Amino acid sequence: MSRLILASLLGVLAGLWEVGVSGFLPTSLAAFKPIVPIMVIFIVASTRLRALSFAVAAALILDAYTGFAYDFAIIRFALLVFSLDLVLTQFLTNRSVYATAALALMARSLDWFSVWIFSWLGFVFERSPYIWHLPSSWFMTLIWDMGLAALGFLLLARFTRRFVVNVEGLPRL
Amino acid sequence: MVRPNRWLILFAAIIGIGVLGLAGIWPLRKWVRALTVPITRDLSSIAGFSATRERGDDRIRELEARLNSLAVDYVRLKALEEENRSLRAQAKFLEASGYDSVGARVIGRDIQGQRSLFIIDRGSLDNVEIGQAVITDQGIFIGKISVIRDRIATVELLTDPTSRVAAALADKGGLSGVLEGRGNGAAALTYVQNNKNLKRDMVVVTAGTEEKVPGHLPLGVINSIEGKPSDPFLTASVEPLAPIERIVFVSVLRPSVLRPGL
Repeated sequence: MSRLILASLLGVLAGLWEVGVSGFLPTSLAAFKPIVPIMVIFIVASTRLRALSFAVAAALILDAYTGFAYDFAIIRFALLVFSLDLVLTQFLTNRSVYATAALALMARSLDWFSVWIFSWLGFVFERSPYIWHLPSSWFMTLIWDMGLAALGFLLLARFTRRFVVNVEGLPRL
Repeated sequence: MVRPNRWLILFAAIIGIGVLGLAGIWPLRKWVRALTVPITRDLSSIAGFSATRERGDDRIRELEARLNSLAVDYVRLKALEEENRSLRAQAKFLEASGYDSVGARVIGRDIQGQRSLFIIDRGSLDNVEIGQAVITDQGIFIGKISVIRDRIATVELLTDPTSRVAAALADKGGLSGVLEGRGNGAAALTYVQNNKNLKRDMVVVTAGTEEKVPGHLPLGVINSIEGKPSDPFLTASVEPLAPIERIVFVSVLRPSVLRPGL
């Protein structure tokens, strides 16, 4: 339970960073959006419930400060967590730093696609003038995402031994 | 291994929360804003202070070079403003159609690439309405309120591609054209009649023809003029007077009384 609360608090902090801090930073630092890569780290560590707690907490902050009428981050991030978990368990054959970076890339692409879809829903249903466009610093954001996700994986592997294969009990060849 | 039943239940619960929030039944956003606006305010002030210190020096040198060429126009404009102010005071024009203002802090912004939006810490609870003008502490117009929540509002800056402001030239009366945002910190004065005799460094102000936007609020300065002498309308690129990246405090102009009927 305490770990769920910690994950939620981390989600709140990540949301506050994206809403209240990143907009005031230089472009290279403003491209750092921590919610998606941290979500990927939780998914890769097979802590799905914590990933969901983190995502929902961050989404609550984003939704409270959104300037777009139809951007509902709770729904988007819930779909994102379930999609990433599905890909990880059904399609990825191993857990590695490369797979983690690839998952981060896919997560960000899905996130941007969902924001674009929601902005078009706002245009269709509420004639909202805001159609989402790819940010000018999209490449830096992807670099930050893959870098943070890879770093998270390496730290997990080094300090938690979560990805160590137990070979005891296997027949000798 | 995924447990479908448990995950489906969680998935359905979250989607249900989302739908209830969309329907406005569960005021999640209001509760979150009530708790986090003071925190966001402090975070943005720290981030904004450190960012402006890094970029201030280069921007100051650029502005100094521009300021020299605008000094004469500024003095003339101030003289006209003073004369205008005394005339209005005599006619009690301000009391009849007065505006008051409410101060606000910028707690979030999206000025990367095409979009130019601020989030301020004032909302419907502070009698802020959509369409109201937002100015800097020097009285320079920067945008209009576009989205309202209970405790926050979104300011659509004049450089945003969806922004449209009725504009006039400072030394000529009446409506001269429409200031349209072009993204990336740029704006253009469009639909300017060919006989207006546009020149570089002319000051552009609000025309006062919009319901909630007073006239004679400085907008920007003309950089260049596009169009041939034979064209019926000209377009001029306008550089905003206010340095968007360094704005932290703004004021929202609220009509304090209803306009008198004509």
